[in-house]
Amino acid sequence: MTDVLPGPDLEAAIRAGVERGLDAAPVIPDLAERVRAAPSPRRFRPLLAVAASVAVVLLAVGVIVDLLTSAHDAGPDRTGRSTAAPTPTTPDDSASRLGGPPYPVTARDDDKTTAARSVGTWVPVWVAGYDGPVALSTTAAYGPFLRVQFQDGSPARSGGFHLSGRSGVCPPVRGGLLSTTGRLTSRDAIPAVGCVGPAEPLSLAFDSVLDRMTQVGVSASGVLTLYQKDTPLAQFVHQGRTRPRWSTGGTLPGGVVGAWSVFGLPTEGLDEKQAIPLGGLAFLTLGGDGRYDGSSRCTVLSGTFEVGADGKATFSAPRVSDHSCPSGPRATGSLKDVARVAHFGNFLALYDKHGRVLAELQSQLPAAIVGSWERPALRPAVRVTFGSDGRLALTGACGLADWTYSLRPSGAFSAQSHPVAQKCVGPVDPAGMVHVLQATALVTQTSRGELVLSDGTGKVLATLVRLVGG
Amino acid sequence: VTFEEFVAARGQALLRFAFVLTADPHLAEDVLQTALLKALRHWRRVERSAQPEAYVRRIVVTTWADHWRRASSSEVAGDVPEGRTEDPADRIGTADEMWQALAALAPRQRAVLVLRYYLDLDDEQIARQLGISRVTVRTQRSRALATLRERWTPTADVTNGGSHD
Repeated sequence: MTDVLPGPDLEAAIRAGVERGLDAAPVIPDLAERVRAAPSPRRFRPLLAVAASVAVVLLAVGVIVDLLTSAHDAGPDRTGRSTAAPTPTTPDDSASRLGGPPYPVTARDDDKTTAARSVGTWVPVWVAGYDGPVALSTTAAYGPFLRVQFQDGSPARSGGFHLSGRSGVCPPVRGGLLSTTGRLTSRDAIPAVGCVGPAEPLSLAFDSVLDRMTQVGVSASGVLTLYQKDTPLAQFVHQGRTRPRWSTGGTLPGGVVGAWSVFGLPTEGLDEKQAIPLGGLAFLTLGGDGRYDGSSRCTVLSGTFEVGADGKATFSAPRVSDHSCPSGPRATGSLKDVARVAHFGNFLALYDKHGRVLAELQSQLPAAIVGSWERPALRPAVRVTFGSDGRLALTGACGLADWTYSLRPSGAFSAQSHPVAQKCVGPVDPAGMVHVLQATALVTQTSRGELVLSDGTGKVLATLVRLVGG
Repeated sequence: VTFEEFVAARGQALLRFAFVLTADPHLAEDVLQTALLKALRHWRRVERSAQPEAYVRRIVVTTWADHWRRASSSEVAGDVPEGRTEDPADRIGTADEMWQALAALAPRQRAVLVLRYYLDLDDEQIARQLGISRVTVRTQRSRALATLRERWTPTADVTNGGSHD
């Protein structure tokens, strides 16, 4: 190995330096194997053509069948039973199970400026199927990102648009060509040439999104959404641009109750004092009794709060306990500056009176309500069993279908039914649990261990007791 | 040659090249992936060319140029201390130290030197690949050489013309 540089010839010395750089380059011993193992878009072109032909034929047949049967489907089945078996949402369809997109999903149209408006580098704020916090860094670094470019690299020529996404430091780049309206017209993928560490859950979820997405949409507020047909899969904000405000939709105030982790402390536009709006606060628990507790590594905050149905919020000045803190900035927090909260899915944003984001939070991992429960006042009894795998079962009557559910520590609850064709004799849903589960937006637990199911306005729909041994 | 065969055969060499351009292993992978993606989209043209590797290497360079051009206009610089004082320990006396010095150069300066002294391109070719003027090429090279010369300690051993082990 060269150690001493060549003599007075600087150019030769530079060549030696570059050679040393080449020696220091990362080595990927199994690159060839990895490339051979990776799917080639060309390899699948004949298959894709066949699949497309079959899809066209099936679509045509489906349209004809729909036309022929539409008269029969005009009204509900008088028996109340499920007569058909719609395609069930699989438990892995996490867009519905793990909280929805934080920004409003607007109806897509045939806007021919969509692809042009999507040009740039985008960082995700929400990815279907991923339960943990998504870093809201405005620099893509080596995390997941999406990039849309003019295909020929020149806006002036605008020969088309190309979308590419990379889910982390390890996986392949995936993408394809976009039409002017943002529709994905062809897919391509390129094998990973480098791999640093194993793929983590966010990357896996992002990979899945890139595999499934068929359409790009860009809202007027500057949020890019990837869709699979009409289902939103992921949302992004433009790298380097100020994030648009979050939706104020969702359920209030019940939905804010629960334990939240702080994962975004935006500093844009804030002075130094304001730049630590929550002073390093890491967790915040909003209790159903109107009390809050916050904590950082060494500081504990507590106080009271109120959140109105319109999102207006008042937090008392926190009582601070930081006895175990070493010297340095204290997490004094600015919760008293919170004037409004916005809640959507499993996200919560805190704003000051000027509309500036003080913090963005995400609910922590779901609490367990796994086991069997029933409504004691009703007979015949219907047993509700919450599975640890996200499945929900109703037993005790017929025709009650299979369910999947999601529950967050904040109490936010949602459930989807997947009806199956059954031959039933007897009343359907005698305890009214189908309606209850469909309307439930919040689940809380009383001190006696009862499970209280409420709708978005806080109205109690049902109280369940745990079955012994359930 | 198929795309897969090409990447299997030359991917590592291209990664090394991307690394000396970027001086960052992760960025090198990113740049190379993007470049290979571009090459894949025009693979017929690439494989028909006389030198596919040189073709892809050019794409790597333009991709890297696009990257730092975009980065310089949109990204906020990190906490780089200004007015760095010269430390005698920073003198360049070995190939390792020269590489460290090259890695510390501004991206465009490093790119100009790598293209000149590694690929042996002339100013016209460098300007075309980086999308800058020949005057800029000369200016950047001049500044880069001045920076290196300031810290470089020539050794007396020139007997083998620079090829050492």
